[in-house]
Amino acid sequence: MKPPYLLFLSAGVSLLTALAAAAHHSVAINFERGEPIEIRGTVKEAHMRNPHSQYVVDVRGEDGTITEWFVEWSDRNSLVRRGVDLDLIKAGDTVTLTLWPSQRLPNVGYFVQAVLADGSIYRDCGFVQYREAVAKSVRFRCEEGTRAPPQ
Amino acid sequence: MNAATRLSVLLLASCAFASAVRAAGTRDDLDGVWLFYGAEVPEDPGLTPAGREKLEQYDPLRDDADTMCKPVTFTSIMHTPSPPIEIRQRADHVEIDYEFMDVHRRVPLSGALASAPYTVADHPHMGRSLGSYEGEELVIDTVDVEAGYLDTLGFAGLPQSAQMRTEERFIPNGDRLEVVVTHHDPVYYAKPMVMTYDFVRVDTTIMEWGCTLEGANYDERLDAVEAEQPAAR
Repeated sequence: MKPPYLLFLSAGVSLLTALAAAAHHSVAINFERGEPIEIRGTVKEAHMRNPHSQYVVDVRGEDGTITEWFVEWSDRNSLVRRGVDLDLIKAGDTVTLTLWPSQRLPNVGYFVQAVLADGSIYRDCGFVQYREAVAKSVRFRCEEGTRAPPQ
Repeated sequence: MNAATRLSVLLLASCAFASAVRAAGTRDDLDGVWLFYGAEVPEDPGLTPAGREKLEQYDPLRDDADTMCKPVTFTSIMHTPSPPIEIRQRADHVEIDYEFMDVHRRVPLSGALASAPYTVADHPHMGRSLGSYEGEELVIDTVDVEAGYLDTLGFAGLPQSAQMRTEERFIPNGDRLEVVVTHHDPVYYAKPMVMTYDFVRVDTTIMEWGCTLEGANYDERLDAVEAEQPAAR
């Protein structure tokens, strides 16, 4: 595996944010923030922890084979500060997840949105929006992060 | 007062003036909880040939101590975007709690740097620190660090030798904080290597990080996925 973060050295890019230059921890480096993908499956494991939260999801293909997906999300403490319900998604739940796909690994993605077991929709505002609210001294409110009614 | 003494006084006064001008806030502003808001990393860190070789050898799965729940350095910790830090200034020391990895640092404000206690009691590899004030700025010098890697987040793979001496300059500005970190390492750097961090004050408390090997080694598990499915994507 070629470490992608070595590339920026030769490219000589001036870096103004930590994330832009980050390594394997980095969401910006590891996940394609363009066109999201969608998976539907049963949650096998839910780990709300630091430095990243993770879900393991079994996704059944059209031919009946099960593929295990790893879904990464923010660190637990950051989710708590953003007011995210840590029991939002539990083992055994059947969910549809919208993800940014990994740039380097198959069947790995970063959490964007979930259609929960009860049909409601949860969309994450993300850490950056929280940080901007802090910087502007305004109360953080995640309108997108509230559960929307089933469509 | 002879000429040399007058010159020294003049230089000290100039430094204090420069410091006072740069710091738009007061040292009291430093107390509080701070959230990372960006960093400036050098385009060219000025590595020596030995430094370039060490950088090229960097393997995050082997060399990133974070994956073993061992905090790398303060330079690396301050690159973590979401876990905040808290500064508390006391009469004879400064306490800095870094939420990332539950690092609790204590920096004396007097004594000798070489004989200062380890700045993080349970992580001696992070060295010995001594603090002082220059005008409104808090300056922390650190030595006696463990040779290895200086940064695994902002500029992953930058090395450090045991000869590394670091100066962290905390510059208050009301609800903003700038930390300028200058690294001096004759083994791996041909010139002082400077990183600058910006923080914003945040109304929160430091929470337990609770690093576990299982959580920190998630990357290893992901790489196992890659090894098992090389043809995908």
